[in-house]
Amino acid sequence: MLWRLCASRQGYGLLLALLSISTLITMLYFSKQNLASVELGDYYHYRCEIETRIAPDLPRFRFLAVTSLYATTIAEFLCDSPIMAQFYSGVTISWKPRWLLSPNEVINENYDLIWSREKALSGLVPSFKQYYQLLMALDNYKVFWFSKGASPILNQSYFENKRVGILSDRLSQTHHLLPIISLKDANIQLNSKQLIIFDDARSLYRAFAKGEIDLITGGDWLRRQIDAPLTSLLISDQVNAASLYIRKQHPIESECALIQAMSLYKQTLTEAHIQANIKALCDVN
Amino acid sequence: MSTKALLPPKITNKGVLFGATIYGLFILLFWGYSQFSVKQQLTQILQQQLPAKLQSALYYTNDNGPVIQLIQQNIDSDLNILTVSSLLPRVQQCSATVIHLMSKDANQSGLKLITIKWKLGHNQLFTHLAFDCDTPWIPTLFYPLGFASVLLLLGYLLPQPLTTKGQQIRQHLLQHLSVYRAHQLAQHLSVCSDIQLELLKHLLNHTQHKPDISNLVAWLEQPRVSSLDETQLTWFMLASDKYKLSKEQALDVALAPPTLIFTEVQNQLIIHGLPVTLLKTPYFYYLWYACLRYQTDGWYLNPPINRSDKTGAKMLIDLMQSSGGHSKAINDLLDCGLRAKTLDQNRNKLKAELISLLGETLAQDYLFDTDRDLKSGRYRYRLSLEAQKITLPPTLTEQLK
Repeated sequence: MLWRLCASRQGYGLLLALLSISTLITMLYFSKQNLASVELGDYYHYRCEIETRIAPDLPRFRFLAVTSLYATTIAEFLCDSPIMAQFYSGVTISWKPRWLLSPNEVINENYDLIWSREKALSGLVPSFKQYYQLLMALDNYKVFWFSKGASPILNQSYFENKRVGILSDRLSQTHHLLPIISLKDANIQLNSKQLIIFDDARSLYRAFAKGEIDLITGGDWLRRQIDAPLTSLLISDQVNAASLYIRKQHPIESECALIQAMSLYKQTLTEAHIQANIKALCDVN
Repeated sequence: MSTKALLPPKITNKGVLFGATIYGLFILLFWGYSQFSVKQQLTQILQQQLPAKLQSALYYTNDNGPVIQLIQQNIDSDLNILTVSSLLPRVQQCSATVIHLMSKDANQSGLKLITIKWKLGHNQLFTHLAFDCDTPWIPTLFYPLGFASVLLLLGYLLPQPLTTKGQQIRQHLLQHLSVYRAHQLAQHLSVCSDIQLELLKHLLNHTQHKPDISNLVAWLEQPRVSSLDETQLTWFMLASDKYKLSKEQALDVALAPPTLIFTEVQNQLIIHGLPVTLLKTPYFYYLWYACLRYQTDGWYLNPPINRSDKTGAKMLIDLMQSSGGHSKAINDLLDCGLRAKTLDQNRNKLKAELISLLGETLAQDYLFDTDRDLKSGRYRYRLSLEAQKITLPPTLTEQLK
């Protein structure tokens, strides 16, 4: 066969090509690199280490927040706290989407501090109060309708041809429930083209900033986020922004540090209602 | 046959350059594909995992600074050490870093660039990462060398292709030899002349038993054979085909000088080394013309139709009488002398006989020149062959002297 093929130039060429290709394929087969499995971590948390910790085997303080806002500042504040250093080796603050919080994580007390609403936690684990207790509540949170044009008015003619942006997250008080309730109460009907639903807050704000939507709801903090004068209409000033639940088994001494750290949110959101005993202990207003 | 024929071609400078080019190409492919395979797998893994990870990390994020930077650092940390392995023993470590976490530009490409497509809300975003691998140079240079050497060695040992002539030879040899031997010999003989090729074909076709090809090839390559020209080949074919002479005898005929020898044996001649026998009367006429060529310039003017040449007939009569010619022919000559008609008849017989013995082409040199005498209007004839190439029987030569 070999000799038969090699008799003609074409056969010789074909054989040479086959030989080259098979050698190349063999070499490429052997040169192929196999990547060991890569598991990406979760990127919705920030960690800092407490340098002056007393014992190396102390647990980490784990805080589940609802936003990445101030996450690094709060974590660093806690890591610098001498009180925290007595009980923890480091701080992890997480802002993972709330629907990813599982009942097991609540029951197993995977987090030392959870920023959530009571209804959300009890919806997840009705007996969550066996494991967690209220540390502070961020109440009197004001939610507004915001517009870059004329001041919002809650009637059908104002909302005619206006595009309203909300979040798809049905647990979002500010961006889902309140705007829908507000429109329903005022008996305002929007067609499907007017109600634009976003999957994430970032896209929602960006669309509003770019003028792709005319109205959104939000707290006072939104005025600082949007680089343009906004007109507003108050929807409610009694909204519970969130409550902070702390593990029942926690060092009492750490509470003051936590409340001080959370004061960053207080400036942004609303007035904090702190449990009376803690208030007395920490000497805060 | 020399053993040289069985060896692959010599390694030349060109060959070394070609080998070096192949080696370089193999290194490039080996290195390039190993990088590409890592890139491909990493892209696949990241495309599977990263979009969901980013979406969940950025869901509640509305700042462009610290958190984005933090995510970027965490991805870099996850991709800082990527261990890769391969079937060949060599250790390699790769790493990837984020260049742009949330880009709207998809058009960034490069061998060491990875682009992951993902969506945040309604926005189509792209994450660009650069990856790099530490190349362990010793195995990267060594393994391709091994593969390139195997390829070059196999290519070197591969039977060389045959020329058109070589393929023809191979075809003929295949009837007697294995494919392998036929190829080798055909390759060796492909440089031989067309005449050698003709001889080979002829001998292969005319050998009844299994021929000894090696001997045949050696015979074909001897200078006596390789120097044969077209005419000599024709002589060889004639001697071999028609007169069934052996190849050595036929070669002697082919190489014989273009002479005409009249032997002592009656009616027998040796033309170009080939013994032939003629009919009695044409033989004597042939001998007579040869004698004329030997003695003079050879021309003999045909006698007029109404008058014979009795003087001219004397030599022919003598030749016939001394060598046992037909008595009828002798008497005819004695009575009538040389007549144009008899001369023409015998020349024509002679021509027909020589053509039948030697073939049209080869016979030409041994036939007659013709010329017309302007004065008489008659034709004159002589042997075409020069006198020096004619050898008469020794006894006759003596007489003519």
